[in-house]
Amino acid sequence: MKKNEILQMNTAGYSVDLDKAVDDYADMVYRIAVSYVKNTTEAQDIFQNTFLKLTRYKDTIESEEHLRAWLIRVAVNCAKSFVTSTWNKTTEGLDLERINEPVFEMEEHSELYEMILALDDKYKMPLYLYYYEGYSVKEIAEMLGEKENTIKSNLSRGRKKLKEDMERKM
Amino acid sequence: MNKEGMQTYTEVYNNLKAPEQWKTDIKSLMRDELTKNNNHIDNMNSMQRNHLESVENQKVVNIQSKKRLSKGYKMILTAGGIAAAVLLIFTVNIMNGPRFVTPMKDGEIQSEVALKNTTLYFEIQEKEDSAVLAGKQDDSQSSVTFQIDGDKGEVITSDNQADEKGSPSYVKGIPVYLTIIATDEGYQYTAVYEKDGETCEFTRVGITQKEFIRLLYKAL
Repeated sequence: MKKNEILQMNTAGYSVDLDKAVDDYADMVYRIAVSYVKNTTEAQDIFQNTFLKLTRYKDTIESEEHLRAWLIRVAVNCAKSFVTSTWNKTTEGLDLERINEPVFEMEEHSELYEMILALDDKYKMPLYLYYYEGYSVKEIAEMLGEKENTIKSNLSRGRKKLKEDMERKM
Repeated sequence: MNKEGMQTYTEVYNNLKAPEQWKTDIKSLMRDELTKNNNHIDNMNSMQRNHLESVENQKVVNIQSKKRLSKGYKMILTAGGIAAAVLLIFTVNIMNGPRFVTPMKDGEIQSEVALKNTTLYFEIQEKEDSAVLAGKQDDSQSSVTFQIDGDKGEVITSDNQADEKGSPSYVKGIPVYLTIIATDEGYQYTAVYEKDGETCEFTRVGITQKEFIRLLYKAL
């Protein structure tokens, strides 16, 4: 569900339907999780932690748009916490299954995907939220807890890096 | 990013989808979590209700205690007030009443009774048919002449140069003439004084001298 579609919805007296939230935003949370980690187990931890937190804080959600932004923010925070945790730093990935890579019909999609994964996290998320989820710089800054200028800068550098990588490939 | 690049970017992400098993698993986990949370909330609500009830009960107890206390305080104040008033009246009475210096014993009468600020003089007569009754009052004179038959038959004449009322005593600054006469009913105490231009007489029978003096002070 894209941001533009959500704006149309009635936000009065909002109550979170947990099953529906999973159906609508599981893919979004998954994409955020795999942007930060490389294996299935860790990604699933981030995925589950995000939705379990929703169970706890669902009464604080005021609207569908709020729910979406809330999930993004929590998923990013869970992923960052996971990446920076002591456990993750000291534990080597022992036989951890790599995330099933999607099958792309077009090779360029597959190449681009690899380039995206190779990007620094500080570029990856702003690019994803801006170009795929359709958020503004200001909204992204709020969600990621960064200054707008930082987001603008990271967007610019991320685009530039991707462009350089794509041109190099050619 | 150009339009083409953006399209490619979007398509890449479109292919990134959460495994269906992940969705099934997380829904189940969320239901379990919800049940756990609801039980916890119920317990918390129950505890909170109990706590609130306890607080309310305590408030009621406090209010009732305060009411009792205030009732108690009122009673104390009332009793205290009454006691203070009684003490005040008693003190005032003591201050205004006679303060005896001469020891007064029941059954005994004395011609002179010393009080704190004055001395009372009583004229004591043993019998009713006393020399006073036999005396002739001579209005032209300020004295009374008594004729008493002596043991040898001679006539003894006595000029009482004093007033017919005797020596005055002063009670609260008022001159009073005090007399004690023995009667069949007991001693008769009489006080004669002037008040507001009128001659007043205060008489009591069958009481002690001390009591008479107290009553006289009250009367005056």
